Amino acid sequence: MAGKVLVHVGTPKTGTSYLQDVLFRNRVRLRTHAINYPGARFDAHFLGALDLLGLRWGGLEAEAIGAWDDLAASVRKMPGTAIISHEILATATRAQAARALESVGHGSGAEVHVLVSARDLVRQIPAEWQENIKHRARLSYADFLARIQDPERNSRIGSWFWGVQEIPDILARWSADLPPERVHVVTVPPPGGPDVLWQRFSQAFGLDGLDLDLDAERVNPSMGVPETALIRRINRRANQELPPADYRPLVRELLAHKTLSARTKSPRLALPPEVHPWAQELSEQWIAEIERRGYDVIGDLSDLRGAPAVTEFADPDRPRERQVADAAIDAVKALLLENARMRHEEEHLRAELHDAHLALERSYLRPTYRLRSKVVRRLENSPPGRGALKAYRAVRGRSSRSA
Amino acid sequence: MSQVEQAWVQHLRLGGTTPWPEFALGESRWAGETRVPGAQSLELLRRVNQAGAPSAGLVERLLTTEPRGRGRPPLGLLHPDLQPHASHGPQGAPRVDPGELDPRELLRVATTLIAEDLRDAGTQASPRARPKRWRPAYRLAGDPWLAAGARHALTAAGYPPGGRTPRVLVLADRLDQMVVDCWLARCFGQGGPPWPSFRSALAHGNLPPRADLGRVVERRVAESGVDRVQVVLDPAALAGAAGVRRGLAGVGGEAPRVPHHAAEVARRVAGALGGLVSPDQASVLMRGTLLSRLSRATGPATAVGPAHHQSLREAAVRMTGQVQRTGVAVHGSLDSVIPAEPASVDHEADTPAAALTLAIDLLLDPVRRNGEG
Repeated sequence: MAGKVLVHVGTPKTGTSYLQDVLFRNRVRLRTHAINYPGARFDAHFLGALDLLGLRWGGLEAEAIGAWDDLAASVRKMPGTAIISHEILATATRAQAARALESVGHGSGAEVHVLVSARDLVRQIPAEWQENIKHRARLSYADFLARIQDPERNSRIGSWFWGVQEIPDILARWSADLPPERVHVVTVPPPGGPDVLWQRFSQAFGLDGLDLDLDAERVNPSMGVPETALIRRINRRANQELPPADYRPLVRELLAHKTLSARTKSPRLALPPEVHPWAQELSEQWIAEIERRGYDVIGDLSDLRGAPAVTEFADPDRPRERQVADAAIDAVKALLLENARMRHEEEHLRAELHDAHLALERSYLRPTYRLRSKVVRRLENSPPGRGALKAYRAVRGRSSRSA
Repeated sequence: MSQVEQAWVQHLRLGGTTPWPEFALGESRWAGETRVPGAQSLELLRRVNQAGAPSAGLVERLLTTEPRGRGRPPLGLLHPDLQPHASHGPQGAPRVDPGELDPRELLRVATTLIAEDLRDAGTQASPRARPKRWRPAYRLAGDPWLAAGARHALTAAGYPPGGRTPRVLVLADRLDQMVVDCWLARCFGQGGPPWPSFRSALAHGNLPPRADLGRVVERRVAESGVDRVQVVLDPAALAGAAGVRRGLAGVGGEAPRVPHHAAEVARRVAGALGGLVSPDQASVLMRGTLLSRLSRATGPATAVGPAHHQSLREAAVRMTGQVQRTGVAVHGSLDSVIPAEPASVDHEADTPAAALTLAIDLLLDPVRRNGEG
C-alpha cells in the first residue's frame, strides 16, 4: 500500500506533457527514492484516464479496457509515494473522481492528495482551440469562442472546455472528500519562465533535491496563427478520408508538432480583445473562490489573471494568405521528406523480402521444386491455366495445395 | 443536495413518474440519499417507469450510471423557483429542468446500460457449417454492409471467403443506398459520426471510399487483374459469382437493414461498447446479438434525401462509365447504381425521440445471448 498518493488531474496545456515525460523517463531512478510512477508505457496514465472516464479516443479506448484498475493496483502495491498524472482526468465527474481516489487507497489508509496545475484563461482559451484543431476539429475560432461563452454549455465543445478548464469546478469534483491542505493548485507563471514552472512542479511532487534527467522528449508545442489555420483547412479537406490512426502520426505529429510548431516567427494565437474582459472577470471569480476554499497554492494566484489584451490581434479565421501559403510549403516539404524516407524504407524491406524468398527457395533441396513452382505461377496467370490447375488439384487432393 | 431532490430520487426508485417541476413544488422531503444522480439519469428512470416496470437491479443501475463519453456532465436539477442558468455549484454546468433535456442526453445514459447488457450477454460461436473441403476461392469488396452480410451467410453455409488466387466480388447497390450502407456498417462496427455529419460530407463531393464503385473496381483490377474481378449488383447472383453452385442460389445476397432510429441506437451502443470489450468481441455482439434484436424494429429507413440527389446521380453515372471501361464482368444492370428519385420527407428531427423509445424498450427487455429477449 502506498503511503502517499499524488493525483495530478490537469489541466491541459500547463506543462503536463513535459512533467509526464520527465517522470516516465526517470521512473527507475525515482523508485530508488521510494517514488512510484506506475506504468510500463509512457501513455499508461492516459489509457487509465480513458478507461476511468469511459471516453472514446480514435480507437485507443480498446487498448484502455481495464487500464485504470491496473494503474490503481500498481499504486496500491508499491510502498512510498505514488504519482498519477493526466490532464484529461480534469473532466471526471464527481462519481468518477470518487471511484478513482478510492481505488488508489483513499479511505483505506493512503494519504491521497489532488493537484491541479492552472494557467490563465488568456492563454488557455486559444490553446484549447488549437488543441481541438490538432484533434481533427474544423470549427472556426469565432465558433469556438461563441460555444464556450454560451451559458447553456450544451455543445460538445463547450462541455469539454469547461470540464477541463473551470478550475474551481474541477477542484470541487476531485476534492469533495479531501481536506483543503491535501488539495494543491500549481499556477503556471507568465511566459518566459519554464524553469519557474518546473520548480513549482518539483516542489508540489516532492522532487526537490533529486538528480533527474530533465531533457524533454515529449512536449506539446504550440503553433502560430497561419499554421493553425492551415491544419484546420487540412482537417476540412482530409478528415473524411484520413482515418484517425493515420491522422495522428501524419497531421498531429509530423505536421503540427514536428514541422509547423517550429515556425516561431509567425503571429501567435491570442484572445480577441473583445473577449478579454469576460475572461478577466471570470478569472477574478475563480481566484476569489480558490482563496476562499483555503487550498494549498504553489506559485501565485495572480498568475491566473493573465496578460493584458493584445493590441494587434491576428485573427486565425482570416489569416494572411501569404503566411498560410508559406506554412503550407513547409508542410509539403515535410511530407515529401517523410514520403522519401518511407520509399527508402520500402525499398529496404523489399530487398529484405527478396533475400528471404531466395533463402526460402534455396532451402528446398528437391531439384524439381523450382520447376514445379514456376509452372504453377505461370498457370495461375491465365484462366485456362487456372482451370488446368484446379482439375489437377481435384485429382491430386489437398496435399498439392502447398505446391 | 436538498431534501426535495432526495425525495424525488426516492419517488423514482419506487416507480414514480411525476415530473421534477411538479414534484419540487410539493411537500415531499427525504434525507436518506447519499448522492443525487444527474438530471439525465433521473429523467431516464422516470421515463423507464412510465414505459414499464423496471427490475430493482435496473433501477439501481440507472441511479448509478452517468452519461458516458464526451458531452454534458451530470446536471443538477433546476428548482422551479430558481432562474435558468443557475449553476450546480459556485461554478459548473447550469442546472436544468430534466423534462426539457434533449433525448440525446438521455440516450447517452441508456446506451451505456445497453452496452453493458450486451457485454454481459457475452459472445458464443454462431452456428456455422464446417468449411467445405472443395470450396471456391473468393473475396468480397465494395458495399461494406452487403459484404458483411454475404460473408456471414456464405461462411455459415460452409464457404468462407479466402483461398488461393481468389476471384474478387465487388458488391454494389444503388449509390444512395451504398452511402447509407457505409454508415450502417460503422453504426454496427465501432460507431462513428451521426448521420447528419456523415451525410454532410457529400456536399463537398466526398463519397465514402467503399461506396465509390468506380474507384473500388479500378483498384481491384489493378491488384488482381480484370478477369478476376466481378461486380455483383444482383443479390441472387452472388452465390453463383462466388462459385457456390449447389443449391445455394440467393444465399448471402440479402443483408438485413434496420430503421434509421435503430441504427442510431446501434451507433451509440457501439461507442460505449468499444470501452468495454475487445473490437473482435464488439463486432460479434453488434453484428450478431444487437442486429438480430434491432431487425425487429419498424420505422423509416435511413435515406440520403433530396439535397444530394443530383450530385449522387452524377457520381453514379461517372461510376458506371468507369466500371465499363475496366471491362470487368457485371452481374445485374449497371444502371441500377443510379439513384431513383428520393422521397422528400426527412425523418431526422424525429430520430432522437424514436431512438430513446427504442432504447427504453431495450432496457426493459434486455438483449440476451444470440439476440433473444
